[in-house]
This record gives sequence, structure tokens and C-alpha cells, in this order.
Amino acid sequence: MTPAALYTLYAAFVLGGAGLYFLLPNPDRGKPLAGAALGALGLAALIVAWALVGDAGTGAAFYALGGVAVLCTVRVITHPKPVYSALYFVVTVLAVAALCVLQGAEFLAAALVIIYAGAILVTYVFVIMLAQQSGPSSADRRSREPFLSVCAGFVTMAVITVHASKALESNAAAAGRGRAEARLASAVTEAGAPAGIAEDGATLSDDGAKRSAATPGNAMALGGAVMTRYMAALQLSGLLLLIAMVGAVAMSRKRVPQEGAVAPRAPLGQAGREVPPY
Amino acid sequence: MPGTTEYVILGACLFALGMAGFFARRNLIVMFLCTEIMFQGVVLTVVGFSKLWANLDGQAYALFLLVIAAVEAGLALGLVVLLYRRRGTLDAEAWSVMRG
Repeated sequence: MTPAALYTLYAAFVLGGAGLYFLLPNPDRGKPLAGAALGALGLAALIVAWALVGDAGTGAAFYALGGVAVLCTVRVITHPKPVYSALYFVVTVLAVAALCVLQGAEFLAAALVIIYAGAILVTYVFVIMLAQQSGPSSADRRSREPFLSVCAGFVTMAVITVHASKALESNAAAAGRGRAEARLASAVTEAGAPAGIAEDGATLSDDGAKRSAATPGNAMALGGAVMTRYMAALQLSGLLLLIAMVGAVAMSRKRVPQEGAVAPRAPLGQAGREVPPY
Repeated sequence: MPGTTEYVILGACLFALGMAGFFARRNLIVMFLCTEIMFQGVVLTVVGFSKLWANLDGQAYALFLLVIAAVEAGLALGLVVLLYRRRGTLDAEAWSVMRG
């Protein structure tokens, strides 16, 4: 990483951290406009830093999707209403899935959209609905130690970024060797299987279909890896899901006594009426 | 390197933003949303490494990460509902008796 890119990155972190501090919900010190301006400057500096460290592997799509992901993440952690946080998180997941497609991980992108945006987020929205409070509570309007948490987060960000990119640079040669070996292996399998097919008068589309059946796509290759190299981990994760399911059922079936003063329960017909939309 | 540095930077940004949000917010549901954001940062990083080394290990890790995220969401949200029924609030500060 060149010094210019490094200092741009540091500037992005400082600006973004200051912006996040002002954006976090805080009735006394929160200045949303100043925070938004600082955050926008920080995001612009981050994109410039990406362009400075960038090489042929990325393009405008990466900058746009990365910007959307960072922006929506900031909204998730700064929005005072949990429902909006969850909806912004859906946009973050979609941007991350698109970034996975850019890196050739199509199956993972589909799994992210289906499992995160489809299943986990629906669970979150259900829980937000179940645990509905009357109006925005003080827990949502006031952050806990915003300065210290922003400092902790952004120092972590700077440390991870700088050390990881240094390690990446020293590992680049080894990774290049690994890539060359992988390319060699895939070339061997491509050349080995469908060699004689094109000769016996197959049509072009037929040929394409046969070739795509012979060279495994991302989903097939990933399935092969999971079913062979990671078989034990796959079984363990199934067991983990079972244990979590049993635990969640056992936990939520329990009848719990209510502590403290809670507003008396309204009759069934009017239960949701005096609660403003959340 | 096929864009791995950019992916690592973006992954670190998402991870650290999620961490800052986890520390700063007091609503239990938003705190767990922040852990999911940290998972997204890790997914981006391992996918970038998977492209760097041109193998599928990173993507397989990300797949198992998805399993962990689902388990975490299920258990954590069950806990949140339980705590909400007991105290009638989602404020994490309501449970600071355990601080010691």
C-alpha cells in the first residue's frame, strides 16, 4: 500500500468516526447534519483510498456497491427505530451478495439473499413486532458511551486494514503461485473430459451444454468441497442447528413472571390501538 | 491480487461499524443486528481471500458462517423475547445487575 493510500484511508477513518459520533442517537450532542456531512466526506475519502489501492480486479460496480453497503450499515447503527434498522440491514445484505457475485461466489450470494434477507431478517422483524414498545424508548434515543465506542470501532478498523493489507502484500507471491496451480488443475480437467465431443458434429448449443456439464460451476464445486473436505464440519453444523432449535423451543416455552411495573394489558380488541406505529 | 485489498478494507469497515454499533446502542434487537453486520464483514473478507487463492475454502467457511449466524439469530431472539416478557423493556441497561 502506498503512503498516499494509507493516509487517505486514515483520513477516511477519522472523518467517518467523527461523523458517526454526531450521527449516533443522542438528544444532547447529536448533530445529524454535521454528522452526515462528515460521514459523506469520510465515505468519499474511503472510495478514493479504494481507487488508490485498486488494481484491475475492481471497477465502478465495486465502488457503488461498497458505498451502498457502508452507507446502509451506518444507517442501521444510527437509526432510532429498530424496524428501519432491520430494513437498512436488508439493503446491506443485498449489496454484500452483489459483491460476492463480483468475486465469483454466486452460490454464496444466493444463500445470503435467501437465508439472511429471507429468513433471519423476517425473524428479526417478527421479534420487533412482538416486543413492541409504546413509542421510541429512552434506550433508542440515547446511546451508551458514543465517543468510546466510536473510538474502539474505528481504531479496530484502522488496525485490521493496515495489518491485513501489509500481510496481503507479503503473501501476494505465494497466492500467485496458488492461483497458477489452480488454473493448471482446471485446465487439465477442461482439456481431459470433453475433448472428442466437438468432432462428431454436435451443434454449438449442444457443445456448450456438454462443456458446462463437464466443467463444474460455482455451486457444484462448492457442494463438492463441502461434501468431501468439510464433511465433519457439515455434520457438526447440522447438530448445532438441532441443538439451537431445541434450546430456542425450551427457552420460549417457559412461563416467566413479569417483574417491575408494566402498563396494564389492554382488552384484546384494543391491544394495538393506542400504540403509535413503530 | 484480484481486488482482495479492497474487499479486506470493506470487510474491516463493516466489522468495525458493527462493533461500534454493538457498543453504542442500547436496544437489544439493534445490538444483535450489529453482530449480523460483523458477520457480513467477515463474509466479504473470506470471499476476497477465496478469490485471491483461487480455491473454495473461503466460500465454504462463509457457508458455515451463515449456519452460525442462523443459530445465533434464533437463540438470541428467543432470549430477547424472554427478557422482554420479564422486564417489559428492550433496554440492555435494565440487565446491568450482572455487571457485578
